[in-house]
Amino acid sequence: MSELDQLLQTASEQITATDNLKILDDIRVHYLGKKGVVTEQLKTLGKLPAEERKSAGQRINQVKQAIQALLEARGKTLQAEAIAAKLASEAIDVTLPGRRSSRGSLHPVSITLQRIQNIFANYGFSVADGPEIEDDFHNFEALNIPEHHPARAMHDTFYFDDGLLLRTHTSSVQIRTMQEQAPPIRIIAPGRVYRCDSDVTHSPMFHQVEGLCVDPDVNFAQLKGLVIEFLHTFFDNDQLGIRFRPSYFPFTEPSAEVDIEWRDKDGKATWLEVMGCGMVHPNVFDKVGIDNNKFSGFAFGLGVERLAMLYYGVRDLRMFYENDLRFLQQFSERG
Amino acid sequence: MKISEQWLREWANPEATTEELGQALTMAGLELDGIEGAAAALDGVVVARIDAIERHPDADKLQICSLNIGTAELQQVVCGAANARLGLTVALATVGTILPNGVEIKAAELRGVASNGMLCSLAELALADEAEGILELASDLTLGQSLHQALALNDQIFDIDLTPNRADCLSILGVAREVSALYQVALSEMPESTVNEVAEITQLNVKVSAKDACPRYCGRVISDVDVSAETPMWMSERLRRGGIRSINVVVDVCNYVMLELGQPMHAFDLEILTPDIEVRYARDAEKLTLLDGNPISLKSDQLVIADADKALALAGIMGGLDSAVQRGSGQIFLESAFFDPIKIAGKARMFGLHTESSHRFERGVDPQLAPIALDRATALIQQLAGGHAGLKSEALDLPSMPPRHQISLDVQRAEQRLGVELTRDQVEKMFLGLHCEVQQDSATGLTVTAPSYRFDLSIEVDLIEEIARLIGYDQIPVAALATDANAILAAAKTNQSAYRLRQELAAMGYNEAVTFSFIEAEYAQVFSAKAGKALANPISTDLSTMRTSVWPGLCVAASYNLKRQQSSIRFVELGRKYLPHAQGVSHCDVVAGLVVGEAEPRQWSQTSRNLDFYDVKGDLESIFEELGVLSRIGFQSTQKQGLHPGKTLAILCDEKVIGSLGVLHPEVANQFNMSEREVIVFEFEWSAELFKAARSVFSSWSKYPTVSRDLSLLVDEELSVQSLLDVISGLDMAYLIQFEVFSIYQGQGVPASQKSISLSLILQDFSATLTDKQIEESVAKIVTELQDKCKAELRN
Repeated sequence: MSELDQLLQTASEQITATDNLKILDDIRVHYLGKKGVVTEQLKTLGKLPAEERKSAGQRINQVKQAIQALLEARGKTLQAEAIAAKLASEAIDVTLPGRRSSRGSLHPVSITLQRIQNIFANYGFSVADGPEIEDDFHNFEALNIPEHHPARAMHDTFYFDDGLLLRTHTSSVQIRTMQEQAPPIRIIAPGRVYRCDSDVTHSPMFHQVEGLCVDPDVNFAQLKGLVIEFLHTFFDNDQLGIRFRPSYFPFTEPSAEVDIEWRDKDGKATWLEVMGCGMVHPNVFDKVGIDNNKFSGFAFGLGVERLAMLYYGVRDLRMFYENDLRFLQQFSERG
Repeated sequence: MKISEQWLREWANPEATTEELGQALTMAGLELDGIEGAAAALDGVVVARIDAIERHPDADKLQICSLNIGTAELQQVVCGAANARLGLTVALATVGTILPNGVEIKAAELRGVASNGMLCSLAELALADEAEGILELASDLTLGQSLHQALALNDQIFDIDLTPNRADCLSILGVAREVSALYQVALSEMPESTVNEVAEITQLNVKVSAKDACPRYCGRVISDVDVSAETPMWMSERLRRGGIRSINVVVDVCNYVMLELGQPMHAFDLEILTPDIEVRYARDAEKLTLLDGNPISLKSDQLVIADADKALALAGIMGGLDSAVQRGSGQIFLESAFFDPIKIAGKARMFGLHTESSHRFERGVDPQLAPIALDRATALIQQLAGGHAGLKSEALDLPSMPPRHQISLDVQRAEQRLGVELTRDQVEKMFLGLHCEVQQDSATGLTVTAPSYRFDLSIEVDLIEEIARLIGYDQIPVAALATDANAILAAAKTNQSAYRLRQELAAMGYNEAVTFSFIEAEYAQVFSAKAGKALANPISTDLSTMRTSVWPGLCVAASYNLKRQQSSIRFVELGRKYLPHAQGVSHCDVVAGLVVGEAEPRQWSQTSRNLDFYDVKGDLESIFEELGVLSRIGFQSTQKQGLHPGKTLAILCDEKVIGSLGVLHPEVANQFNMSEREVIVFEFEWSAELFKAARSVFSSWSKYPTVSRDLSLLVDEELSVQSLLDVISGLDMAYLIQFEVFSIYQGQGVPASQKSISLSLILQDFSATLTDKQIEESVAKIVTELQDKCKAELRN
């Protein structure tokens, strides 16, 4: 075996035996570095006779290339192994829970109110606001509920010593709006209202949305159309059964209560009252100086908790105000 | 109101099932709360007659009855009722019957004597709340017939929730009129009530001093009435089905006529009256003991029925105890009057009363009904309890009677308001069906005069409602409401602001709460020096005062949740608080929050820590940034009632205080049972106008590299970081683009009563890379200023 063959064999053995990239680099320096064994061999070429120089040069270069190839191949293998080892050592239990920030929640009444507002906004109903501590005129008198009217007894009003009261409905905002704004008017008035009553289905405070439309020519058929569109959209069910039946509110005439057909778990249908509505009573227009001959109007009112209870399947009204986190965290505005 | 279907169908009998009829009433505006059977099933209870009776050999109080149930064989029953006697027709619960109270009748032996069944009382049949002795049935009933059939108990009761405008339906007659109009079926004639008046009986004169309140008063003396006569079963049953208890025959007849025709009536014991009768307003502080035993003191706006000496009854509401018809007194004076609804309205409530009579008079009783009802009741009393009827006394003041409005109706207007097509003839027919008088005025005009009992019909729109009702609301077409695009745009603008804020807060981990606007009076003064506005009639003491701050409500809610093992609470409420002042009360919309507990959800790689003041301050800064107003917001150390004196900030917007942020004072936290952890609260005024965000405007940035320099300074520990930062802000610095505190340290290496503040400065030039010299000069300028203004020393 020639010296060069010996050299190649030794190098090959060393390279194969190496399992360390650093040592592999040392081997490269040892053979192929500036002062490496192979490099030294090449330097000796000059001393050879011219005719041998070429073949000897080729020979040395072959060995050099062979070592290079071995080094490269081994290097790749070792690198791949090193990466694999590093990856193996870095593995974590990816099934452990992630790091979360606390998510909050919107109150179901807020979500419901906003859904209602969004629907009516599409019909051009702006949001109007009014005081909760009201006077008798706006809460009763102007709404055609004079003193001693039997409807007052049904309202269970909270009073203050100075004669003011807590509004029993957001209908009072109708009056304030019509006093301040000339027709045409389209408003909804969401907000807190108060009745002196408390049990599973009554809360001393709850939320209502009152709606009012005053226009040169609106009629009961359009009121029906709007209410049906609203309920279909709100309950996301165009097949929802809806009925209007005559009722009585002093500030509208004709007046109607609106029932929806509700199916319980067994599929049994019952009619549930969800809204009141009607054409604005001429006495109301008289109180706020709107000409009955030039304008007609309709108004509607709904209980927000009532709709939220049906939509979410809440049974006890009082839960809305207990603020139990187990309750509050159940409602998402996305569905 | 409870209406017996059987009785109703005697007056108007449409071809409709019970359910259909009920549904039709609901859809006509007479809302049905429910339909229920008039009596329990009572299977096995039959009509029987005691054909033989003997004493029980071994028991004094028991008798052995042999009962005839129409079969050859007599049934033997042992009975303890004192009124069991030979020949009596009774209700026998045969063996196997399950009584309404659940008791099953079994064959038994009572002290050695076999008993096959039980003789029942009204109470045992659930036909009365209480009863004395066994039921005594009329002797003409068929023996062996089921009691259900014999007493026509297969009746349904409509429970109608009448709206206040439909007083005309507060009777069988009234509902029947409605049914007759809805189904276009005949309405029965008024029952024949011929009264043979005996002129010799001394009449009571009636003087009405309060004509405005009592336009019509009818009365009649009936003498020698047998008040102890039993009310027949058919009548007491009808009263029971109408929800009224049987009292005595005279009172029962009055109530019966009220249920039937709608006229509340009253009977006085003539013997205690000092002639004559006067209808007048009460004298101030006049005394009267009502039928329910309550003594009342009257006021001069309350109407009474009086005799020459004293008030006898609260007119239209309740009679007096002393003049009530008692058993044994045979001379009575029967009253049937019309009182003006306005004069009666609200009066019963002043005494906490609500009676069948006041309910009707407040809403309006047919003014034409009084004499008719008087005759009807007289005839019934005579029929059931004998007696001689005197001449009718009547005081009628025509000018005070309610006017019968002649209402002009334009059929075209009705079409416009309802969105339906109508013909004049069609409308005319509807009103004729409602017993109105109708005149044709023009091609589309009618004049309608409503019957006297329809108090709710006085103007055109009242008639339009009737048209809608008779067409059926469900038959009115559905039309689209045309909407102007500008209105939609305007609406969109009013429909945003607060909800965005709620969403942001939720994204930051806040749970939105809704607490009551009224709180305990004491709580209203926890965070406010002034007392809250108090309700005159609170529902309870813990809901008695308008809140002066949202915090007490949130404290209660947080405490509730902590008690239920919640470890972390971030509450926010957007709501109103009510601030009393000299001129009254004003309200203010606020965003209020309460934070307590663990900062993050528990997680395996993190150590848990409690939320503190700076978490919440950061939340607020984030909210204000989100609202686009952070640059207008400032914070200032302050003190506030109910908050920790060293951990409270005022929140300012444009230099004006809009709220505060702080840690609950330990005493307050204790008051709400939250003493274990720090509770941080905030509240700031909110309005869409106040927080209108400025428009975002683009600004360019330098393309040259930034340079960062850190400074550690020793300052007095009392020095607020803000004052140090303010000094830097006040400098005119060419290259300083950002600076912030990144560490505060006290302890080893820092002299006592001093603290180390580490600042990070970021410098950059817009047009070139900064030179070392520029950097050093900038830093030196800051250091010099801080040494000068804050007595800061540079650390190493």
